[in-house]
Amino acid sequence: MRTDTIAATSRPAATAAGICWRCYWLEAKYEFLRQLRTPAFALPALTFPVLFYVLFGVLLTMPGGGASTYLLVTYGVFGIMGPALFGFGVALAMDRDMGLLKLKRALPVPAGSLLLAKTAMAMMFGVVITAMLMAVAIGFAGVQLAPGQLGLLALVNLLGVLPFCALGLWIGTLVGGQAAVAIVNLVYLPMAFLSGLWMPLSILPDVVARFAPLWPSYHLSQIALKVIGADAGGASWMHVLVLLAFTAVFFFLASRRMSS
Amino acid sequence: VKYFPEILAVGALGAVLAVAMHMLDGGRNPHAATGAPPTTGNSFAIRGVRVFDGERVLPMANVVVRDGLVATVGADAGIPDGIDVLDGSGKTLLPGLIDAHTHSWGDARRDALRFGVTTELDMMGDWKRIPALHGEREALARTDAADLWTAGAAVTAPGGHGTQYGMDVPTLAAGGDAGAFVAARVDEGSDYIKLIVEDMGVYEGTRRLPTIAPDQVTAAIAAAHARDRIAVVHASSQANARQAVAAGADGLVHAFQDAVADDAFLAEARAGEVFVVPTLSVIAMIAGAGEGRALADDARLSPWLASRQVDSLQDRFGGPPRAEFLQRALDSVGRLHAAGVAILAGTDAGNPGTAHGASLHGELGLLVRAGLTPVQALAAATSLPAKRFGLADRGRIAPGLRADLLLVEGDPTHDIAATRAIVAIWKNGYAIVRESTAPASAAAAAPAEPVPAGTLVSDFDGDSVDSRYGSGWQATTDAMAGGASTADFALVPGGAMDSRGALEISGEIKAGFAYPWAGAMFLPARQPMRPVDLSQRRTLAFQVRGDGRRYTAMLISGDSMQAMPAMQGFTAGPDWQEVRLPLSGFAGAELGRVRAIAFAAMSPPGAFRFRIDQVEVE
Repeated sequence: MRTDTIAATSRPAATAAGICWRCYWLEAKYEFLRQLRTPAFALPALTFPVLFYVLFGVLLTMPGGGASTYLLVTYGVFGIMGPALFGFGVALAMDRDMGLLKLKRALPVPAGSLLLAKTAMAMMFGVVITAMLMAVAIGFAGVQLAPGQLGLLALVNLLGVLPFCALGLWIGTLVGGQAAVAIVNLVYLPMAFLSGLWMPLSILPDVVARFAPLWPSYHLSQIALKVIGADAGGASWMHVLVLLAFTAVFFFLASRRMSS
Repeated sequence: VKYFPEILAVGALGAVLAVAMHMLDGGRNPHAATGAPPTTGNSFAIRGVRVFDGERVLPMANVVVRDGLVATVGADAGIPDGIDVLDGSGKTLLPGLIDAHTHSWGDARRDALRFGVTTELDMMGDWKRIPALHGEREALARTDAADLWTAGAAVTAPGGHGTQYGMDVPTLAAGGDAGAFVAARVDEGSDYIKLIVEDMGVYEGTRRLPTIAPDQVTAAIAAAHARDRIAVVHASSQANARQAVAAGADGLVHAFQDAVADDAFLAEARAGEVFVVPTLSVIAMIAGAGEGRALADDARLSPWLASRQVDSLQDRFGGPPRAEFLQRALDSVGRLHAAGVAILAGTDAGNPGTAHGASLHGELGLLVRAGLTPVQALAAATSLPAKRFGLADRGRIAPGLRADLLLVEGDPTHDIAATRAIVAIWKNGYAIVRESTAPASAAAAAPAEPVPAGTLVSDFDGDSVDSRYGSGWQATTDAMAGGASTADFALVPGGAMDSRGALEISGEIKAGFAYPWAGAMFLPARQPMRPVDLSQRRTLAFQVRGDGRRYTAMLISGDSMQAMPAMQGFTAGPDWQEVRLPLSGFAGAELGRVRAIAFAAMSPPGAFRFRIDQVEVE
């Protein structure tokens, strides 16, 4: 009886069901709590998109002009990029600095649980940010969207974290914690601007629009803008294909880094 | 080798991104952005377009341009793969226009090209630039200026016409050797020889200018012919014109204004095979006919007029208007044309009352007024001047010729004014980017006009869509900013409060643009899109009914029409209802400089239809 218990706790991955759901759940829960309790992460991640939206999408635009709806979508994409890039890029780099990854490897937890926990955390933050933006848009900017459109937008944002998780993961495997902050910011902010997330590409110089398809955030925003019928008219499958390729390649690059 | 998988993965991602960039055309809005050229290189094709080839009309043809030259023209011309293709349905393709009488200095050639005039024939100007001109007009390079042929210095007497412009010009003294004088011009590179026979007798009571003698005219023309140059003559009286024709002149570069061409002159002109460039545009200025101002006010031309062009169009020589001059010239042109004398389109641009480029569109209208058909007028500005001045590489749309082309909306072979509705201009096969000059120069600098005292703008009870002041109503859509929404408006019977009529505005908001809009706007200034001062007014009031949709009233104000409008919403319900919007409620509007008041639908996409009536600014 006693040996059984020890065996059960020391090898949780091999329970009767075959998968330790509780391991994944706990890992995800504590990852989320950890980030929520890291003001340097949670505060900007949660408030910046909403603050920016209030400034540019509500206060500085004329009511009823359609800009508030358009910017709700693009600031949503901007919002979900943050937790994914920082949660993976910076947090993973810090984990590595502290030797947490080595410790985890020694612990009897499923190998993928940390990655899945971080992904779930990014999605969780993404949903919260999307919901906050929607509340502001509907409550203060007079944005009118059908419930189906709101649901679809949330779904796009939920799945849209994946390419940025992959990119963040790769950055996190590349550099240490201090450098990761700088690099993620260097990637995150220019990419958002150059993809037309802060202001529409139509009012930016032509050269910015020309090179916008290089950025994953552009493709995600185009998919999201299709929900409100304000995209530039590219094929959905093309945008999805780019995002899938982007996710796969950076995940592959990161896994090569981690195994070497 | 160690990083081979990484390199492979990054390469694959690069390939996907490259395909995406190509397929998405660089993320740019597919609905033609403003100012963007319709084609990029100097090879392209236009499909299914009406073609006036310089001589004949092809109702439906394909035109292929390769490396700056016209490759094929014809109903069944094949369109090769891999080049830009434009849909020409509803449009007409013309050869680039030739203005056969200009004085082109400064920005003239750039101004000309902006209105589809791809070649100018200068009739007296700086001869030192001639070597550079030759290189430019022979090249097929990308350019933003019309090509130029020039007479260089003209043959005129000391103190005569042509010497008064402050330029130090060579002159032919009384008793001087005309042959040697002309030879010197040919040596300078003059493309043709221009003689000025002008003592101002037609224009002024007593003052007379010195002018060249009849025997000098004869000798100069002979000398030009001896050096294989054609000789053209400025003459403002029938007597001088007759003498020039007798001396063997190839062309007259004005219609004379002291008389209507008599039968004898018609016979002599025909026998001498002379051509006439009547320059009705500049004669209309002398007549005070307001042709220049009408061009400046034409909304199809005004957005591309530089402020110097607007000023020039509204300018006049001093002295009383001489309406009879224009009538005589028009009558003469009609009679000469009927007698079989070649008429060429030329404006004398560079003079008051004209503007390079824009005035040629006015000249075409005047030629039609004189009795030419639209097709003959178009030939007078394309194939005919090319033939008479020996410009072998242009003037027609035919294989091997230079791809100087003009694409216009509508059918100028029936309505000559359609040449003003320019869709695209190509020079040497390269599309010209027409930057609107309005916001930067003329319109921004223009002082705000005061508005008349009455509050009523439009009651829509008349027989056309009009307004008590300003320049009327126009459709406005996001197409000007890259969108695809459509709008139309029309008078309909049955207005508010049992009045006779109302304005119905309908259309469709199309998805695919960040801030779609479509509707109709009132332009309160006499010149479209100029500002007026509404700072003493308080309220925009109007009656409305419609499909129940939410609409937006916009105030466009400030430095340009492109500025973000200030907006207030209203709903168009099933019954007539008065809407009163305080002007102070248009946040951010500059009430001292209001350029337009628009009534428009915005998001969400879909069809819309509403009526307005009794529009007042109180």
